[in-house]
Amino acid sequence: MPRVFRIGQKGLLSRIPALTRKGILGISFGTLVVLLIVVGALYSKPYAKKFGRGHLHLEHKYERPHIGIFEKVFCHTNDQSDDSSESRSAGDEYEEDDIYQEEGNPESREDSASMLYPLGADKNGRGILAGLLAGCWTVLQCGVLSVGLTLLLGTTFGVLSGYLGRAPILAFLKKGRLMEGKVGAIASSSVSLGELANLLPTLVNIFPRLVLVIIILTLWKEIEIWSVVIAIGIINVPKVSYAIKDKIEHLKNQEFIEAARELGVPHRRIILKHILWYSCKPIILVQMAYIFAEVVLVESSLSYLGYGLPHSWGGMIALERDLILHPGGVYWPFVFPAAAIVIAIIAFNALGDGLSRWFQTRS
Amino acid sequence: MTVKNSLSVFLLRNIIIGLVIIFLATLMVSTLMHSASHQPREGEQMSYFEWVQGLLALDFFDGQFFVKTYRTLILTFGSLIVSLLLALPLGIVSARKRDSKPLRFLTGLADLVCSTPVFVTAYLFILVGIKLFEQSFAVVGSERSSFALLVMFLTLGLSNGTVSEIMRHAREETVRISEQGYITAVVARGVNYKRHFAKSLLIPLLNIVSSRMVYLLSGAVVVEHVFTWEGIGKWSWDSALAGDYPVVMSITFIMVLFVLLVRFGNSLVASHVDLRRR
Amino acid sequence: MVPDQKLNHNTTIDRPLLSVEGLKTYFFLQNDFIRAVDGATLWMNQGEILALVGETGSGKTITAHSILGLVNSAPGIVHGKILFEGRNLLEGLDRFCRIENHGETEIVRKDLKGWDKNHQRRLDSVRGRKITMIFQEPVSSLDPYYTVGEQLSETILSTRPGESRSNARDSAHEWLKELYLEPPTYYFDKYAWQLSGGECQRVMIAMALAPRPELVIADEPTTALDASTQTEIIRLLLELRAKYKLSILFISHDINLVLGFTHKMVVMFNGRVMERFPVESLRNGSCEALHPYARKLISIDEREKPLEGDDDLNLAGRKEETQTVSSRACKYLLFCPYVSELTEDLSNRCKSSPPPQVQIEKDHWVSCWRFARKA
Repeated sequence: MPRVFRIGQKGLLSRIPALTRKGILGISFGTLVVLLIVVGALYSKPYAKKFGRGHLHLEHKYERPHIGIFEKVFCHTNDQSDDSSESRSAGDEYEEDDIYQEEGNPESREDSASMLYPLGADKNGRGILAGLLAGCWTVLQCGVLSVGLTLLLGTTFGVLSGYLGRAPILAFLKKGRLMEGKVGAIASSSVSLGELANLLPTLVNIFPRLVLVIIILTLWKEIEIWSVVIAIGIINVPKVSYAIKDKIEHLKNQEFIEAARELGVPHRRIILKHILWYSCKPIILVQMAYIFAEVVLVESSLSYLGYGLPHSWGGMIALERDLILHPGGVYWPFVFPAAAIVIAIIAFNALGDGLSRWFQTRS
Repeated sequence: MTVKNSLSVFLLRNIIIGLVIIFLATLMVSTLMHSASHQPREGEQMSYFEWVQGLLALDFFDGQFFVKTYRTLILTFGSLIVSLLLALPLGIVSARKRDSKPLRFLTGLADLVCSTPVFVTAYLFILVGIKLFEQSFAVVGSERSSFALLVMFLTLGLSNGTVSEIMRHAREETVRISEQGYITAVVARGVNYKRHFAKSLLIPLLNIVSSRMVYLLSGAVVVEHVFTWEGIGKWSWDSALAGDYPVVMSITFIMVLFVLLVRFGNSLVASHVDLRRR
Repeated sequence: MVPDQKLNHNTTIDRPLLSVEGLKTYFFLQNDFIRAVDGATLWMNQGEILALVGETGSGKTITAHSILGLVNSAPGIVHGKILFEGRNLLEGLDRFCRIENHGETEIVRKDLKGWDKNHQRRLDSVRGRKITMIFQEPVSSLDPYYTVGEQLSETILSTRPGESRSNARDSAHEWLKELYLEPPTYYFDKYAWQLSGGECQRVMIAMALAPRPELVIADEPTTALDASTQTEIIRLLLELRAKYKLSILFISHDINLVLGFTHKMVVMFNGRVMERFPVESLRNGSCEALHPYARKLISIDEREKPLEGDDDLNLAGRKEETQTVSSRACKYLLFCPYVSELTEDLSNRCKSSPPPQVQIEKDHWVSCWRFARKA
């Protein structure tokens, strides 16, 4: 199939590559979803108040799950039901009581579609949309706090380890004998101050994240927002600190720091102004976006496994665990939260990608 | 210094650092566990020192340990292979044919799809599996059909961003290698360039694989939960929550050891082949 | 200065060894064509050293790459013939590629995959065997993950299938000795990044000579080296050329350098050949460069007074201007000092179609409308 090369194709479609190259596509998509999430979070309380079905209200109306509009249109769920399983899974923590046995006969399911449950309802009668909105709030809360913590710790460690650099720690031992032979070789090639400062991030990096998270989480009796934030914040520190450390070492090679020292610029000013603000700003911003995606991922996994925050998308999926084993066309309690998680992660990754390309083309 | 000498220094240095890291990591976990707010079970609260003693006497490594480690290892490596199978060709080919629109779409799609969390992918595959193949993944314990294994590999391999990272790195490295000039020179000599290309790609690939290993293990925790596959991931989770000190410590030890070994292998191969490290 | 080389070629064969006719190699970037080579015609006989001279961007390297089929980007080679020992290496190009001219715009239709398959098959017997190439950056043209000796043996093995590995190694050692890299056992186990530029270049020459080719294309082999190594390498190259009876296509941007040892010179500008002349006649003054660009290059190098009314020939700075000129005008139109002096008729021709190569003397051809015989 011959390919045609034509001068001056200026259609919109051909502009897309240029846009993606500059990262505009990623940034705009990411920002759009962020806005959606913020709006959703802000609207969650009012929505719950209005319809009384929100997750934020723990008093349940023990009603049968109605079939929402979507479901009427998209699937004909004649047969059967989901739950009525009596297994107490971890997700049961989210239910007040499980006096939801009967599902109702098939007929009662096909009640009139109600605007009350635009996205359907889960097995406890809570609206899926309300759950999504409440989850937005969790995402925002958890994300912002966690990313903030990660940045704080990460920049500290990164700057420390980058700045202290490769001064070998054993160089202080100037005894002649120690520096000869094999021991000398090991000593001179051994740990430097900078690597020492890098120790904590390295230790954190060695662990699989979920394992470390759960170990940290055992410090608290009850899962509250700060426990999750601190746990997730800690595990993401290595990424940031490594990135900053690399950047600083790169800068060091350019003798830029030495030159500034020669001029008598005080240490603190160098770090804060030159390194962090000028050079690391792009890195920090990009990493922020990626880490936000990570936070959403880890938090939803945590919630899925039962130990996350109360109103979370992962938790909504956890509730419907048995749904999977007997899927009867009732898919919405799972699909919508899952889609929300996926879209959020994709959006933040796209934001990070877009930002990094933006900064690349700028420099 | 002769090559032998630098090699032994390298080995020694890595071993020492590895031991220090293991020690510090286990110490850290031990501190965390001791400050945990769980009520210690009867006789389960031991000190760090006691645990180390037990470890050295191989006290905690009963049959369960080995079997569970083995299971998680299978899961990890199987998923890694799945990821590589998808990511490598996509990455390499998309670097060569940069203009092909369907290819860009495909890579973009793979990138996005594979960034999803593990349980989402798990559910998708289970749904698909049930609908298409009518196989049930019900809890059978530790016996698994190979089909179920395959689904597990697919689940872990295609999520958590492993494929995206490998693909991105493969693409960048292929571009970088092709711009190097020696590939053109090799082609101009009439020699098959694939050998040279593969060797140049080996080290970056090992690098990215060893740095993704940690994420694979973390995803394995979720997969083991969803599929009730009794491996170390699930076990660590359950025992951490139960406050079971020796088990958690020993699992930590094994995991850290594993990650360190992988990294060590990586830098060994890299220093053998790569230049700057010599 | 390298001493003169005696012209030792036997022109018993009537046809030239290599003949490039009307080669066009295009790239497509950001919705526009980059006509790296736009109708280049050159030829060389067996046993000659042909200098291909031009600035950066003149298309000389792309021409060399096109000869060996090393052009990867799309669309690549779109037109022309490359005759080597009588066979057209671009056979079948018109089946896979078509250029359509619609007024000012060109449309290229090319079946990339089909052409690739066709072309690569045709090149297999030639590349690395009858035509070999030496590159500009010697250190980065060697694989840093294999030793120098391994790469040399690999080359030898690929040209002599069925040869045993140990034989190939011994040959490699022999070739290292040949290139004065002694002791060969020392150099065999070294990596490219452990050697100096000159040594790497010698290894490359060894790899280019080991298959005993007919034609060696040397793409600015000395540009990346310092002056003394330059002379050394060129001397070595000439010595080996005499010994192994090679023909060399020597690409350079330094006229001064090539005046010393080449037989014929071809000057390229912006993708087309401007002039071709025998170097010896130029040296002994019996012939003079006629094309304004060639004159300029030579005068700049010999530090004579440049032609009046000229600013610096800054091709890169005038990229925008050169692109707005019709692709079918003479390439030198914007810089040519004679355009204003020409008749209406002639200057129109300069603006609308590329001048053909016109023979002035036996080996002296110019591509300029001023010398074209009226049709």
